[in-house]
Amino acid sequence: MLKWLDLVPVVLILAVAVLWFWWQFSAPAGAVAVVTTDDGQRAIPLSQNATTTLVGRDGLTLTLVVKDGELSVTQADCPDQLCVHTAPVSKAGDTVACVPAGIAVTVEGDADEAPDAVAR
Amino acid sequence: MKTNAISKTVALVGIMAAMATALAFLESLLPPVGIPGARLGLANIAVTAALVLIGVGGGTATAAVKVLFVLLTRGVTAGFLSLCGTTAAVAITLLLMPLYRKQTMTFVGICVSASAMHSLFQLLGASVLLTASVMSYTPLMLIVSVPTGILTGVILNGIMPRLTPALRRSVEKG
Repeated sequence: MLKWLDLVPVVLILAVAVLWFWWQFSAPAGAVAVVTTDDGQRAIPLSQNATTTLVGRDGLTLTLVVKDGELSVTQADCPDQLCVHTAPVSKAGDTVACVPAGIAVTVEGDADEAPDAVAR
Repeated sequence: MKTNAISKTVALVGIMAAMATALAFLESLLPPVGIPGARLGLANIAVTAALVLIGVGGGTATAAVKVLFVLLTRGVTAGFLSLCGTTAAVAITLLLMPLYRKQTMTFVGICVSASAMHSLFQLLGASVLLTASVMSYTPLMLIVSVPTGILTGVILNGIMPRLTPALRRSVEKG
């Protein structure tokens, strides 16, 4: 009763579904951390682990570490160490700042990852 | 004679559209399958049968009545989503119809395709109304559309060889 051509849509649909799933899990979030310094802005993708060292006002240095989609400040020259003690940021809208060095890091990404209208 | 043919088409569309809405109602009585938004798509049986038995015009009219029914009973949002899904399903069914006529594809292939297109375009419609992130639901819905499409396809494979000659007889008589 069934013809072999009946298999084509089934295989095609399952292939698309599997590829789509795979694509979804391989590229989790398009979130980027936007770093604002006196020199301007630059973006650091949160999708790949990396360590960045920034030099801010008065030669103060800041070390940013991206690990598993989260960004944290691991080292700062400033006396108060507020940014180092800030919890790692990962969601859109999260901010970590070092005022003495004049550096602010804000996560931007999918609007859906931001707090919803109620939470905002 | 021409008026007769038109009356016949109108009557057939009425029967098939009633069948579609009745099947949609029957489906709503069944317990939910656990995947939100997933449905068997039994109404598609009537629409596909109409496309084969009455032709492109009558089949499309049947689909239109089905959408109108959803619009009237479940509201504008559901109506819009039904329109998106049904249009896509009818389009792919018409596209594959030559393969059915040539007997190189059965209703299983057609219904699986229609079911997948229905899901895909319904989600596209939903992403227009809500956010694009609705599309992340697509792969799951595509996978679900395979068994539901096979079910409706097998049912059509079973009833169409019996329904088509019966209809032809009644047309010849009247």
